[in-house]
Amino acid sequence: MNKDFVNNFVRILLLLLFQVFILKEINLESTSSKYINIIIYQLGIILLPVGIPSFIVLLIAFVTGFFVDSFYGTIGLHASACVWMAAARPFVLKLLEPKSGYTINQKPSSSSLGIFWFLKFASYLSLVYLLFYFILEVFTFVFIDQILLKTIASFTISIVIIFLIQILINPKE
Amino acid sequence: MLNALRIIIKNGSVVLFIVLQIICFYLIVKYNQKQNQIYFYSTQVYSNNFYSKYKSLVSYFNLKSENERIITENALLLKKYYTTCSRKNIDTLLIDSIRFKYQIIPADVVNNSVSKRNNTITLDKGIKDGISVGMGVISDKGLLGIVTDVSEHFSLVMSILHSKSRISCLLPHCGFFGTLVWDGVDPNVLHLEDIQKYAEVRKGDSVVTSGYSIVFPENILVGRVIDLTVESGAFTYTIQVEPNQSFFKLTHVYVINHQYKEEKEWLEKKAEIYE
Repeated sequence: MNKDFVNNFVRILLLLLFQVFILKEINLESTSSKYINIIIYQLGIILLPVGIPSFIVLLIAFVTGFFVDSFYGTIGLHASACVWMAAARPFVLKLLEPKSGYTINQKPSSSSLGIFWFLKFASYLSLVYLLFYFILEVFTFVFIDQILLKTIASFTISIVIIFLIQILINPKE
Repeated sequence: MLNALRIIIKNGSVVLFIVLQIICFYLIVKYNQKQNQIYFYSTQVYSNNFYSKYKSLVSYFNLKSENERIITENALLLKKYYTTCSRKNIDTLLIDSIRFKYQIIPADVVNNSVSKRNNTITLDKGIKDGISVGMGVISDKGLLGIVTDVSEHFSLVMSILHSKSRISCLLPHCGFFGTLVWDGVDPNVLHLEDIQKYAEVRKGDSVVTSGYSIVFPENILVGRVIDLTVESGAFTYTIQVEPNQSFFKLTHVYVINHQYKEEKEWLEKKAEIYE
């Protein structure tokens, strides 16, 4: 339990630092940077253990989102999107529940539940995250086509990076 | 026991989710300029719509008193009509110029404030109904203010309960002119300035518009003198005026448009050449 806590804490912290110091500085070509916003730090919340109570996930999501906001200068935007994602997490878990069910200390990672399961899980949650983020960024439903375009463009790149991180860094247990 | 705990935890997370989202929304609107503008713009649009709906609902409740008021107003108008008709035989030219000088647009009040230092009234008529900036606004009982901003369907009126409102008024009993201002304390007390202390002013004297500015026609009732004093060493009276139209209950108003306003302004600009 204690080891799990330290693991998750360090993972979230590293992802946050990677997000605000490296990914934030990446500026793609002027036209595409309008649409592409690489966001991967939500992987820390995606990878929290299955059995953890949802209100703790909500609080962690709020704090990490707020942390990112304070670096991006968009107070409340990432926090709100992250809380939405944390709220969607139990439903997605239920949707993708394997026939045998989850074990008590199950981690929703590729090593324990398979790479395709993980890819589905991370995609659903990242889509929720990015969709709510871009809706809140525009703050109106008038430009729904722009919102969807931004979501899909950013999602494609973000999920590839998340996938690579999961393959390269997560060792087999 | 465990089940109960589970239910609490489950519902607790829903409450927590809502609380967190409300905090986020507040933060977004407070600290992000673009979102803040969108938020305030849309709330204004919605609240204006809401106010018009609310007003249209409430107006049913006082239909009876409204009817009585309209009947009395009709009577007054008829009286005026007949007096002008009788004058028509004497001087047709005068009647024509009066009839065409001012154009009247009726409007309903959708929002009104009295408690602030600078009070405004919102009307449900805008550019589409021919209202433009600088027109005067009156009710059947008295003077209200001047239009300062217009949108497509609404217009904003600076009421005389405003720090920048200065309206030229006349005391018809003694024939002296003064300026009507508001000190921001009591919406039922206005101040008439610049009346020399040798003028014979009495309590209860009526105050009317002077007609010097073309925003308002002359002889529109503004209010009555309720108190007058002379400060020691001053040359002018300190006159308190009670507005005839109470600002706490406004429903129907009339916007006054002077037809030849531009012409008069153009002509008066020429005076600068000789100065």
